[in-house]
Amino acid sequence: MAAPKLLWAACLLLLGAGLVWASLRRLAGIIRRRRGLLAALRMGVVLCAALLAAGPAWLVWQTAREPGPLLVALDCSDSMDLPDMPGATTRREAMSGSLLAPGALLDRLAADRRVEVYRFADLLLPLAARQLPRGGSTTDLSVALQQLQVEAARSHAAAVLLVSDGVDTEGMTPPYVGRLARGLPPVFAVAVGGCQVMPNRKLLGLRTPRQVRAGESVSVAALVSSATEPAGRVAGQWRTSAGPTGALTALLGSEGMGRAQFAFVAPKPGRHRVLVRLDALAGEISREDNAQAVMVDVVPGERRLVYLDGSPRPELAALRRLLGRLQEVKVSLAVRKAAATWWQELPEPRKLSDAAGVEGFDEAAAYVLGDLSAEALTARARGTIARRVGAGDAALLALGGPRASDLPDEVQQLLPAPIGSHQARAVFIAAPAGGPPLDLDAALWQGLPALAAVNGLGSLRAGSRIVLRSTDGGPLLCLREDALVRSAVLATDTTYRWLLSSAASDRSRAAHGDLWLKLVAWLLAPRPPRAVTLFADRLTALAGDPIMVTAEVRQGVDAVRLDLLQGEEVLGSWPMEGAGPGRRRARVPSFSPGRYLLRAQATSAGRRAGEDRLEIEVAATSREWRWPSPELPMLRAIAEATGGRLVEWEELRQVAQWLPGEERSVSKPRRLDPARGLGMGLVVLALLASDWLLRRRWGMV
Amino acid sequence: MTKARPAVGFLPHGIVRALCSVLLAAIPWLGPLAAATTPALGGVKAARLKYGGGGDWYVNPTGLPRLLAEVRQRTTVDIEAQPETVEPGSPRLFDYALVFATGHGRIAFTPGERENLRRYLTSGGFLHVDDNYGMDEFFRPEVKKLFPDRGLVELSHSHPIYHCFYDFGGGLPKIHEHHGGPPRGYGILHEGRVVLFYSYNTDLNDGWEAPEVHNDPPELRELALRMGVNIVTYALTH
Repeated sequence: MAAPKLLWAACLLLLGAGLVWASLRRLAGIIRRRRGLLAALRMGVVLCAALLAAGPAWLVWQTAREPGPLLVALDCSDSMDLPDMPGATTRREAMSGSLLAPGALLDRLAADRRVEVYRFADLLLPLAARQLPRGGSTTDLSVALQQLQVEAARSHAAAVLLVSDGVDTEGMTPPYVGRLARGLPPVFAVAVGGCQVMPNRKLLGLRTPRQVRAGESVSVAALVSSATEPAGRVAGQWRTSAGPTGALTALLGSEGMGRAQFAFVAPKPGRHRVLVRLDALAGEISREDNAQAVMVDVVPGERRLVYLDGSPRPELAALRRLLGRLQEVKVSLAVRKAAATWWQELPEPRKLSDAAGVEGFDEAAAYVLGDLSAEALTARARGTIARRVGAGDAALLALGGPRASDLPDEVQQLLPAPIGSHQARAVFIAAPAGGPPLDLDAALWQGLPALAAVNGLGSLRAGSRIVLRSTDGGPLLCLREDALVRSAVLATDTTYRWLLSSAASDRSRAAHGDLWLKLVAWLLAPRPPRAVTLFADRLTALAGDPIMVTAEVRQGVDAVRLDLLQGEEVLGSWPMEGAGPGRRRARVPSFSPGRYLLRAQATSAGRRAGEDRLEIEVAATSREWRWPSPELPMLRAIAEATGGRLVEWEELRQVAQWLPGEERSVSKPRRLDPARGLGMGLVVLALLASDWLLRRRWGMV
Repeated sequence: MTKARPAVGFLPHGIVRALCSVLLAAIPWLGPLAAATTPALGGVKAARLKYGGGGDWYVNPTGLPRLLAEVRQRTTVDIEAQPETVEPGSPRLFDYALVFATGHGRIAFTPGERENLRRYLTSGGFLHVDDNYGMDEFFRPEVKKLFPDRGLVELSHSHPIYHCFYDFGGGLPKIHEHHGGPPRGYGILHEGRVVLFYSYNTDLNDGWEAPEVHNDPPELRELALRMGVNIVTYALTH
């Protein structure tokens, strides 16, 4: 029973009762039975009026059968903008015209059933107006299907009309999506989108050596695809961060795949970026995949040894003669012959005001410093040596001598041990133990002529060891090899005595050559790779895509941490996990479009061993463009899992006749208003008429 | 071909020569003494070659010390300022980075001296021979015996020995007039390096001597010293 308007009814009842009481007082002269009858009639009228005012009603639930509603889910993701529908219209325009326009399919379906319209990309949302908005850069069919199940259960939907290209950018497979769709009413999956291939040039990859020598030719192969241009030509441009630029042309095969090759001369040493960009095709939507970049490490083209000596002396002359025998080594030799002037002796004689001006100074693979005091080297020369040796870009050998203990501090720090004072005394050398890294021939080292002077050496630094000792046990040659630094100190400047002395022999001359050639070879030996070298599977990623980052690490590196930076801000940090010998890997998740810097920091025994940086770019694009063709297996799996049907776009007009016609049972309430209507009026009239007739019979009217 | 040597300075040439001869007569006694007291260790040492054959190997006694002093002053070479004396056959020859020889006449080596000297030079040693007038005719045959397989070659004016510290674009400077024509510099080359430098028709040693000995003008003495600096520098860098 419906809730009556009790307040109004009570007021009316009180008013009516008052009126009845007042009218009965006027009938005080008549007999009591007649007066009671009239009072009853009049109270009846008041009660009827009160009922009319209160309006009580009954609700009666009745069961009926009617057609279930139709749920329509329209794909509105970015791929709906592909113009592959008849008449070169976009999928979105085709859906709007055939489904949403006045008088179109949805209006016709709504004539005999309820139709609820939704749109989806990554979420299912009601479509309020008859316009299909742009949805988003991803399509998540699994989420849309799960939300459809909720809506279908709520509305007892009879069927679902799913209009989509069936592409799931989240990587769902048809079997999985089919299982998700099982609880739905029959789904009629309408495939939207043409199967013709869209124009899209794509740079599949770049092949190039990771490391080349300066001056060598760097060959780069670009793998290109363009399915709409079989046997065609694809042009593009390439440029390097070091300067060289050029054009390229790829000849495509019949399947639309091909490669372009170009080469450039490796510029000066360093890490250089090679960017290749294909010319865009007319009508090409996705142009972000037309470009790719790759990094090339250019290492010095020749092994150059820079030898700086503080004064002309026999040791210098002997070493110069020995170095001159090395064909494969470029030697730059400068001697400080006067207080403020250096002479470059090799490769071409010329005067220098600064040792740093010697040829190839900034690119040397090794520095040999002979008897140099701190004031002999300018800040630039000291800084360059310290920086390059400290970074592992060059090796260092310091020789003894009267001034050697006054080497600049920043250089001394890099040596296996600090050089002490110089003493002129006869020193005999003990036979070396042999073995790596110098692998000296111990048989040559018996009874060598005495050295004429030695320098004392301080405490050995970490990563250092003594290779040669004097017969009194003092260290003569120490080597240092740690994560970055490769250095040596030879605490004498009189090894020439093994050549120029009365006791010199063929064996002592051989020992001199054995020591120096092996020492120079050790200094110039190719450096092991940097402590850590970063590579990314792509330097340009599409928004939403993760990037796999690989690091090649040198032996001895314990851990590598990868940071993602934008400017100075660290946006994320990940440990790089082992991925085989000398390799580590990390997955950098998707970031918003922009330029970022990847930084890998390697540690060895708790100490910083080195770092590497790589610039990457996240391009603003939609992942929808990567799968432009309809995914019919996905739509078929959904339809078959629900007992529905895959509908070709051309069959859209016939879909109405395939929709299920069976009715469904629906319980509805029916309202009964006993106090309303003509009956109550007639009752009131009958009561009033009875009152009038009785009073007339009794002669009261 | 030879000319009479002109007298220079305020004393007659004969008197100067006699005084020098008397003074240097003591050097053969002093040389071994010096060698005995100086160990063959430490810095760069130079020596005067006491050769045989009767020539005045001791001539120009102040020349070499003055040159070495100038080398110490003008360059970074840490060389002993006082030269010692060494015989060509002595094992001590190898203790000296460079050796100087000069004189006016005969010079001769015994086979043993030749062998020792050859080994010294091919092991990294250096010999400068300066013809002080009259030595050339005796020295050339000795060089032929010293290095039978190679001869003295005249060095071009672009050779590093003329440019390694001071520039001598015209080759050797002319200090004293001995013979007509320009001075000449010759060398014995071993593995591309001059191991023996022979200066002829210039008399560098006279130029190195104290000003009052020959009364040469300062410009000439400076040229001689500069060339001497070049010789030392070359020997210690090649």
